[in-house]
Amino acid sequence: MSTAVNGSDATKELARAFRDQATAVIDEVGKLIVGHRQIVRDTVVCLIAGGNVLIEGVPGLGKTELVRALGRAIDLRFSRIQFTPDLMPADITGTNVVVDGTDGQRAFRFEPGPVFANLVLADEINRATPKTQAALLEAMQERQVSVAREVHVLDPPFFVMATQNPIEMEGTYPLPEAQVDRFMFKLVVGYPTAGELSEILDRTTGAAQPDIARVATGDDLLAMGAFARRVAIAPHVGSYVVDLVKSTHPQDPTAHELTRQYVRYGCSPRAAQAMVLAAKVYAMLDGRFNVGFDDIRAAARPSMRHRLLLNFEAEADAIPAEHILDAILMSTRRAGD
Amino acid sequence: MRVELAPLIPRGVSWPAFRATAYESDAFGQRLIPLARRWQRHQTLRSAPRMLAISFSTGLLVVLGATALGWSQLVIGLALVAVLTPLVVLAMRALVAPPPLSAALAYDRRLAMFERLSTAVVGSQADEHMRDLQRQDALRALAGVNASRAFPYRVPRSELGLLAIAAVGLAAGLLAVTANVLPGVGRQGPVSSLAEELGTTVDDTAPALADPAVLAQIDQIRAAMAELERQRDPESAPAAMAAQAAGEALRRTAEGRRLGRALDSGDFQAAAGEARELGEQISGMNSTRQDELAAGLREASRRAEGLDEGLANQLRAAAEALERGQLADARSALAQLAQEIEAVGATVNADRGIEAQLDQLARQLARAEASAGASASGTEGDSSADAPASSAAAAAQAEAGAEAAAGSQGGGDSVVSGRALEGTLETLAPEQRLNVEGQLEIVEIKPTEEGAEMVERPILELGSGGSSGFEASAGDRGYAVGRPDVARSVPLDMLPMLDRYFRER
Repeated sequence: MSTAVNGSDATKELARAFRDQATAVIDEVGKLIVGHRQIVRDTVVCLIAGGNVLIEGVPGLGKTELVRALGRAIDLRFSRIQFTPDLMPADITGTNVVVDGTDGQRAFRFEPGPVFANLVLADEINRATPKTQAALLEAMQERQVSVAREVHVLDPPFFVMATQNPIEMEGTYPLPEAQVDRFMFKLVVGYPTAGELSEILDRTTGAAQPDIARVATGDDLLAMGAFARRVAIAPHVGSYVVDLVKSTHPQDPTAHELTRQYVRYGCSPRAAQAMVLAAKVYAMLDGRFNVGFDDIRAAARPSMRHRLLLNFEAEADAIPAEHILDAILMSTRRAGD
Repeated sequence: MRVELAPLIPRGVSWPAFRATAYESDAFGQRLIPLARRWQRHQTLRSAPRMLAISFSTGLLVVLGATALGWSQLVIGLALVAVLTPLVVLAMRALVAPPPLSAALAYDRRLAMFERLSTAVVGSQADEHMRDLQRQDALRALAGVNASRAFPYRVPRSELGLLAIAAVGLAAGLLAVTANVLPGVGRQGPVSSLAEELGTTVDDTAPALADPAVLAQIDQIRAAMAELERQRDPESAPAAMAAQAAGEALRRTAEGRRLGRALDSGDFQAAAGEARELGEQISGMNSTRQDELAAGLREASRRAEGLDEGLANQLRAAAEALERGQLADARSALAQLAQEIEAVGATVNADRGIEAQLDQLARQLARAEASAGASASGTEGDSSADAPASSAAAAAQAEAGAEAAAGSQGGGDSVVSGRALEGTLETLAPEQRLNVEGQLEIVEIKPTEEGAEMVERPILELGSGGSSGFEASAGDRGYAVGRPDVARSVPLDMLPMLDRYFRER
């Protein structure tokens, strides 16, 4: 995808190329992943928007396979980190090792860890200790790694796609709030339907394996991300995003009633940014040049569900974040209502 | 809903041109104008039933309130403002162009256009090429809009009830105002309308609303009544009563019957003629008749005493002359009696004329005061909308009161022509009584041959049970408890028993 911008016609061509390429990626991943079309689409949207994705689901639902398929469909350097309780931060970021120089002297040399890739799969990220989980903080936000007072810049594009098991499961550690906030989307993978399960069996137990072609490169993703940011968003649509985020703040006068009752901390500005960026990508995928309320609503749940920190009362009443978000989406008025 | 106020029409700008000023001049803006008008009319139609129901119901309440509660003009004016406001709002909605953003949002929402139109209307921070593409995309979407399907001109089914209420309110209000079902409505005001209707107004109770000319008229009436009262002869009423009493006495004699009837009926001219004729016929009477006439004249004289001494003296003089057998003196005395009767008649007739005038004035005054009372009550919050009917009724009542007052003051041609008596009934002489019309009658009880016949009547046994056929019971009203020594039950309702007793007799 070219990044040239020469008038409206060129922009129109870019938009068409954007849509074609994104659709191709989704279709390629769809060859391997049965069902979960929306999960695949949201994952691609996050990649285009330059965000990190947290995919949650019980083991065996194809989370890792989804990310691996993406790594194959897009020409990116792919690395996979299996998080375990004994995993150390240096195992992720890399470390300085002593090497013998040609002059006979020994010196430290930085040995990059698996985080130095374009697409990092942090598998079962919540099985590592918080200290190790935090090793990804700097990489996820600043796209760099600091080791022994040296800053190592990660090559763009850089995406972290983490999978995690539900925190209720044994042997898991909840992710630190700061790290959770760095994930643009949190996608929840559910069980497949009966039809999907049958197709999964057909695809995975036969002799033939689906062939996933590389239909995009890292530069394409960067160009698509830059182009999506040009999509128009009207002030009243932007105000709707602000209203949604403010409704999650317990101390805000416009906060929803459930927010006041069950939310300890509301969504950060990153949630609003994530919603708008994702909505812009949605609009482009839909062939539009402007963001609509429905784009925002589609991006609202994956953008905010992991950013709502619930209080003890919510846990006691078994109130999930989705329940509160649904209430907020229902009650927040849009222009024209 | 975010609402932007449309600018008012500048002077010299036509309406179509003005409508275009609120919208962009490009294809998108011009295409949006008819759609916006469609949406505006659709919205107006949707809200019209509710607003009309409010307006017309309020109007009906105003009509009823003005009629039943006599609301002041200020309240009616405020209520009318409340009535007219929804109508004005509806009219303004039809005339004022809707804000482009509102119309664009409405179509975005209605047709799920993902805010294409509203984004094109308000613009964005996007670069020029992207904005251009977005606007082209919005124009393509706009071209495919079927406005009549998106916003049809149809009253929602849920609003039909309100529309029916509006229709009923409008019909009732128009019926009340135009068909004069509620006659007080639609006029300037209760008090002023009454003043116009009656030609007079009153005003002790509502001086601020009184017409000075009418007040002067009332004062004139009252002054005239006072003058007439002053002109009345205080001797007139006793003289009339004396003539009537004398007439009743003379009516019982054979020779004086015609004179007595004339006096009794108050026809003094005829009575004077009868007296003169009686004087001329006196010589042809035998002594018995002369004596009978003399006794009648003397009785008449006695009854007239204390009421009209002149009449009593002339009657006595005639009686004494007849008793003495002096026919010439008797003729002369009867002639003077005739003159006295004429004098009495003149006095009484003059007084009757004054009474007639007083009665007429009293009616006028009562009518005016009654209408004034109705107006005053209307200004105080009572019903006044039906002023003509109520004022007429009040005038009739006042008129009746005036007639009664006039009757108590001395007769005339009013309903009651009796004379008021000084003091109480106990002051009447034993032979005097008041008839059913309140007039004084002289009762003369003389046992006659027929009257002297004793009629033996059975003892009326009240509630004596089986023998009389009456039950001692008074039906469901129980038994009366009689005296123990009589040991007799007396029914409470005695009328049927008395009626049956006299019928059997």
